[in-house]
Amino acid sequence: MMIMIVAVVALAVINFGYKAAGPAVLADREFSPWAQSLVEALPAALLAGLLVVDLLGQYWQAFDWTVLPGLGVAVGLRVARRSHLTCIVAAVACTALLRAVL
Amino acid sequence: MYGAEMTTTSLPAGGWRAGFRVGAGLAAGSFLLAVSFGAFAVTHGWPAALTIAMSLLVFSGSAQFALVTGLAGGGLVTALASASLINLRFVPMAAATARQLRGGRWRRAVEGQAVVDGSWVAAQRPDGSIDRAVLIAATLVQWPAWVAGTAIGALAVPSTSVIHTAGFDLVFPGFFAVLLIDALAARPRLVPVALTAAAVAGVASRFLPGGAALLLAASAVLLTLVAHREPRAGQARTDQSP
Repeated sequence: MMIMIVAVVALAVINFGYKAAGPAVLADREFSPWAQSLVEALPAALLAGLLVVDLLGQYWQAFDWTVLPGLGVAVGLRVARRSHLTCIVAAVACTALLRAVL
Repeated sequence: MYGAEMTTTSLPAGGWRAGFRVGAGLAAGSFLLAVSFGAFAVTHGWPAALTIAMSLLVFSGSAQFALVTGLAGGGLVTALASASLINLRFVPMAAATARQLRGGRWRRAVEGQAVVDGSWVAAQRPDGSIDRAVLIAATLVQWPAWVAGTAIGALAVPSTSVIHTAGFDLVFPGFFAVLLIDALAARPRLVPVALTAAAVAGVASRFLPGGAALLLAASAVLLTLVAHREPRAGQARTDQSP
């Protein structure tokens, strides 16, 4: 229990520090163009990485192919400009239905 | 610009109202994910109260999952390292907001806490700057949804089989997928970066913990340096021409 509490407090402090460092120190300074391009590219790279890591799981132990059709539905609906919530709900329903019939 | 209710044909006005609207869509996904997290943590031996407190204090889905997973399969240092590596991305993300935040150092540090993945992406302006109001408003909606969802999951504790059967395990990757589509729609030039990151993450996650695989995937942004250098070389040639 104590280890869990220490872990939560430590992670909260680290997280606060991560988010506070830049705004507190950088203020109005401008990024160089190459740094700006790196920052702009981070969301796409991290989201792609998060998606793959989450799908495959640690050491590829969590892959479940029934998730893929649901993801396809989410992507298709988002391309068709549906809201995030609609995309997620439809994706969950698709995968749940697939699992129910298999 | 991105958002839950926007279309790609017309950019929504920024500001608080737009932020709350975007945040509502993101909060719905966060809520479902939080229910999954609450149940996940309790089934891994975490007390419900501490699980809820973690969501209140940390407010970071991927890091919280990593912490619980890490403590279940290793020690405190390993778990903290994994969770911290995952959240390392917040350093440049928050730094990128610095110019748009207000007040002295302490106030900017506090406002910087509004940086979470969905809000940060949603707050991007076409010129690459951050809409402060959208960023903060979208996070203000998601935070209580994340804590409430965690509480419900931790106290009701749906079994992992129920979560799997209902397809709730799709919430997290599904949310990442739609945000990725948004990011690439706004900046199509980043498609090679995303593909490279996905490939690196796929290979790395076969051999490394998730946090390390994720950091390696982030290295794909270095591709943008190559793309950034080419126009400058072209510009140099132009400058030398008579």
